[in-house]
Amino acid sequence: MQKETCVHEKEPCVYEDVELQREARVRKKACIKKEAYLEKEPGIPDVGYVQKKAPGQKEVDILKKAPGQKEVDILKKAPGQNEAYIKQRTWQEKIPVFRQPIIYLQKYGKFLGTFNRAGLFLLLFFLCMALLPSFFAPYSPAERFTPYEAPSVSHFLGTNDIGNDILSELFYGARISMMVGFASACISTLIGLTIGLLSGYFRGWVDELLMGFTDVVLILPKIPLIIILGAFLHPSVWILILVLGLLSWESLARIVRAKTLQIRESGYVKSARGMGFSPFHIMSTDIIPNIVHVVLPKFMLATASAMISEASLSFLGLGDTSMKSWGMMLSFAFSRGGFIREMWWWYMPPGLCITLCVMAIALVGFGFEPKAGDTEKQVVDI
Amino acid sequence: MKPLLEIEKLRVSFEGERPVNVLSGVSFSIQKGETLALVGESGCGKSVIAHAVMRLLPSEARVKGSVRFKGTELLELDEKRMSALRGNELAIIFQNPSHALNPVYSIGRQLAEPLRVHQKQGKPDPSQKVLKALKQVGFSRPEHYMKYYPSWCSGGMNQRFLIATSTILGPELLIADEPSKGLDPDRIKEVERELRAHPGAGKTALLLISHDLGFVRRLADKIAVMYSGEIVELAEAADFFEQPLHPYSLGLLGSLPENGFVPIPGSAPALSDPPSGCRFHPRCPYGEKRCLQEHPRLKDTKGRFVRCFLCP
Repeated sequence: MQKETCVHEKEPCVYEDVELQREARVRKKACIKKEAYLEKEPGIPDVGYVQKKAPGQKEVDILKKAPGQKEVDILKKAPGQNEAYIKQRTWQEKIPVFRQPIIYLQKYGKFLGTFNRAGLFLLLFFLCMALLPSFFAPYSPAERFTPYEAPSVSHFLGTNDIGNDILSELFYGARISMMVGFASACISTLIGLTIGLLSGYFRGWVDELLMGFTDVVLILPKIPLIIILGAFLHPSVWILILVLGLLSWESLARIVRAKTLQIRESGYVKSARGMGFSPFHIMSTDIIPNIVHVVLPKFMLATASAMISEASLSFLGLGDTSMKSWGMMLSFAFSRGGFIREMWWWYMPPGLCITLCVMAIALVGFGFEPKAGDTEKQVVDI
Repeated sequence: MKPLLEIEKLRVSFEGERPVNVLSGVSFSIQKGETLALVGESGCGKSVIAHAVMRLLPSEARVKGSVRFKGTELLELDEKRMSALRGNELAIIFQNPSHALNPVYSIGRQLAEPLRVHQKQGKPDPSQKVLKALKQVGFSRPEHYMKYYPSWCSGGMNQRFLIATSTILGPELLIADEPSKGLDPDRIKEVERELRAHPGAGKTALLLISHDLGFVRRLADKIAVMYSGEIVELAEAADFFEQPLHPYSLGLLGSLPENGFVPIPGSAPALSDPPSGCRFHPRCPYGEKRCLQEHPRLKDTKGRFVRCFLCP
C-alpha cells in the first residue's frame, strides 16, 4: 500500500546542482502542504501511514523522480481539490471537457476502436438526412413537376408518377423509415429489458409466468400477424411502430434474463443485498449497467430488423400512404409503373438506402458487442 | 445483560434430490461490542450461519430455529423490514472482495450508496462522510482513491473499501466472512487493524468467520469451533488457546506451523452423509466405543461448552 514519508527535515540542504536544489524546495513545500491537509480534520487518527523511519530503512518517497522530469501535477493543486491521477497530465487531460472520455479511454483502452468507422459514418449521414431533410432536399416533397421525368440537372433522380422530385422524397423518407425503426426498437427493448430483468431477478413463479408468456409470443408468426393487423386496422405509422415493437422483444428478454441470472449471483449483487438495497435499486444500479453491452447491440439489430419489416410491409401496400417512407416509395415505384418503364432512378435509390442504412446500423451494433479477445476486460467479471 | 444476537437451535438444510443438513442445531449468542469467531474447516457451515442471519440464503434452503437480534425474530421478519435492517444495523463483508464491488462504479460512489439509500438524506453531502470513512480504513489520500474503480485496486485495497462500505452506517453487528482469505500476512494485519479501527468499532459486535487461527486469536473475545455443521467447542478466546478441550480443537491448534504442523488425519465428512455417533470419531485419536454409537451433547464445563464424552 501507499507508504508516504515526509522527510524534508532530514533532507541534506546543500545540493551541487541548481536543479536539484529547486526540486528539494518544491518537495519541501509539497510535504508541508500535505501535512496541513492531514491536520485539517482533527480527531481522526491517520492510521499509521506516515511511517516512522526504521534506523536502517531507506527513505520511501513518492515524490522522488528523475532530475530532468517535470513537476508532478498533483502537487500544484490546492489541498482540498479532488484528483484522480498522480501521473503528469497531458494537455488534453487538463481541459475538463476531455477528461471523462480520456478516463474511459484509459479504462477500456480504446474509444472508437471497436466500432466500424464506415458504419458510423454511414449512420451519421443517414441520421443527418432524417433530422434535417429540408437542408438537403432541393424541393418540398409535395411540390409537383412534370411526371415521369428522367434524371436531369434540376431533378437529380427525376420525378415520379405525380411529378414529385424523387431525391427530395428520398430525403424526407429517411425520417419516417428511421423513426419506425428506432421507435419500435425502443418499445421492444424496454419491454424485453423489463421482462428479462424481472424474471431473472425474482426467479420462481414470476420467471415461469413471464418466460411462458415470452415463449407464446416467440412462436407467433410475425409478418402474417402484422399483415392481418395492418389489414384490419387503419394503416398508420403509429400502429406499425406499436405492432413491430410489441412483437419483437422476446429474444432480448431471454438474453437479459440469462445475463441477470448470472449477475444476480455475483458478489456485488450479494453485497448490495447485504446492505439492504431494494430489488428495484439493485436492478437499476447494479444489474442494468452491467448488461448494457448486451442490450445495445440487440437494440441496434432490432432497429435494423424493424426497418426491414417496415419496408416489406409498405411494399405489400400495408404502409401509411400519407407518410412516405422508403418502403412506400418502392411500393409506389412498383405499382405505378416504375419497374415497367425501367426507371431505375426511381426504385434503386430507396432500395439502396434501406440496405445501406440497415447495414450501417448493424455494423454499429456489432461495435458494441464485446470482441472475443476482450473477454478478460469484460465489465461483468473483473 | 440481554445479548445482541441470539441464535438458538438453528437448523439449515438444502433441498435437493436428497436434502442435506448443513447446520444441525447451532446455538450461540453475541453480546454488544463482543467479537465472536467461528472457526472450522471449509464446508462445515460457517458461511451458512452468516447467510442465515442476514437472510440471504437461496430459496432451496429450509431454515428452522430462531435468530433474535435485539429481541426481534429475524427469521420471521418480512423482506421490507429485513432490508431496512440490513446495512443499517446488520452488515456483512463477503468473501472475495474484488468480486463484491460493482466494477462499473467508482469507489466513492459505492461508498456513498448505503448513505443515500438508508438515510435518504440528499442535503448533507455524503462525500464528507465517505472521505472520513476511507481515512479511517487507512487511506491517507481518500479524495484520490474515491475516483478509483475496483478493477484498478489490489485485493487488499478492495477489502478495505468493503470494510468501509459495510461500516459506514455504524452497524451494531458486523459479520465478516473470511476477511483474511487470499491475503498475505501483511495485508491480513492491515485488515485486522481496520476491523478494530472502523468508525463504529467499540460498540459494534463482530461475528468473525475464518479458518486462520492466528488471525482469530488476535481479534476474538470468544471462539466457537465448528465441525460438520455443529459447534463442538465454545469458549473464551484466552482459555481456548491456552487449553483446548475438544480433540478437534486440539488437532486444529496442533496443525498450526508454530505448534509442530501436525495435520489431523483424514478429511472432513460430507454433510450429506455424516458419520454415526460423534461426527469426529473417524478422525479422533482418543475415540472410544461409545463415540461410535452415541451422539454427544454440548456440555457445560466451567463456563465452556464442549461436545465430547471424554471431557469432564
